Amino acid sequence: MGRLRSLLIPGVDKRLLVKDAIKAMPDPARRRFVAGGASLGALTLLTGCDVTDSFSADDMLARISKFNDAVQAAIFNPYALAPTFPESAITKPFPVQRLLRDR
Amino acid sequence: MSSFSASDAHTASVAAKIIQPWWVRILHWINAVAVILMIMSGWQIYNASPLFAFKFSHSITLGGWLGGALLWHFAAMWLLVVNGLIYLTLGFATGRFANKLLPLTPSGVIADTKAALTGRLSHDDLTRYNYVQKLLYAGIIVIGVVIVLSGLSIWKPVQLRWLTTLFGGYDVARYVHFICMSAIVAFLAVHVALALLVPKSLRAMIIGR
Repeated sequence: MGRLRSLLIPGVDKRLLVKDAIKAMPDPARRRFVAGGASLGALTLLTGCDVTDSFSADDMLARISKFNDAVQAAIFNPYALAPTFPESAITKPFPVQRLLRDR
Repeated sequence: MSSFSASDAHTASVAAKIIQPWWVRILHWINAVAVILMIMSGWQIYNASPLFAFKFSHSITLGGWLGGALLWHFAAMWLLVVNGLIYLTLGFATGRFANKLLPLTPSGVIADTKAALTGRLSHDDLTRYNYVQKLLYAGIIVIGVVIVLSGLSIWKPVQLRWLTTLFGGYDVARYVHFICMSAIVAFLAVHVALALLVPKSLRAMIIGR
């Protein structure tokens, strides 16, 4: 009680003094960023710790590709026809698609 | 002894103000990953049959070759579209789009662009978008929809022939898809640069305030 009384400065409004003190304190959002945001990044490192199920990108891509095959089969309408063009519409020289692995 | 509280009501409300809700942040970062995968694999697909007299450097493409690139492109497209649809649904349902992106006026855009280019555009209140932000964020949503539709039209030009025709045929649809990609890349450059120039906006997109 006595210690608190010694903090009181005569002639100074204690409420305004506290407000000024709060303004002088560091932005609490900064601390929250380190505690919350940066540790979220650390969480992503945890995914590398599980080695029981070895994750393969190629496996994942192949599985999704199989799923896409099913989707395409589902939307397939055998009566939908490709547009036809006159021979004069062919681009010359014909732009052949490169299917080989790029060097 | 009279007591006074150190937590002023005003201070508490300012400190707790959420700038970006949690769902916006999650959808945003998922989208960031999806868009990067789509662009890099898309560039590799382009390289197999270039539209212009150049190819993208192999070091910045994904997939290695046309086949690998297609696998990546048709996998990441699910991430992009599902995430995007959730974002569109929530954006409309929560009223966020109306709140953040409207009103959008040409005079406002011109005024804010001038202010931005002379370094006088304020970023004090991150909860309110300026006219340049509104234009770009609304625009990128539209571009996103067009790029997906044009992509579908060149993936399935026979099954979705009506869509491909809407774009002016398969050849034109390829150019539309490429132009949209260019617009997205340009947006990305500006978006990332500004997020770094105003770091508190990046922080807001990670922890929300």
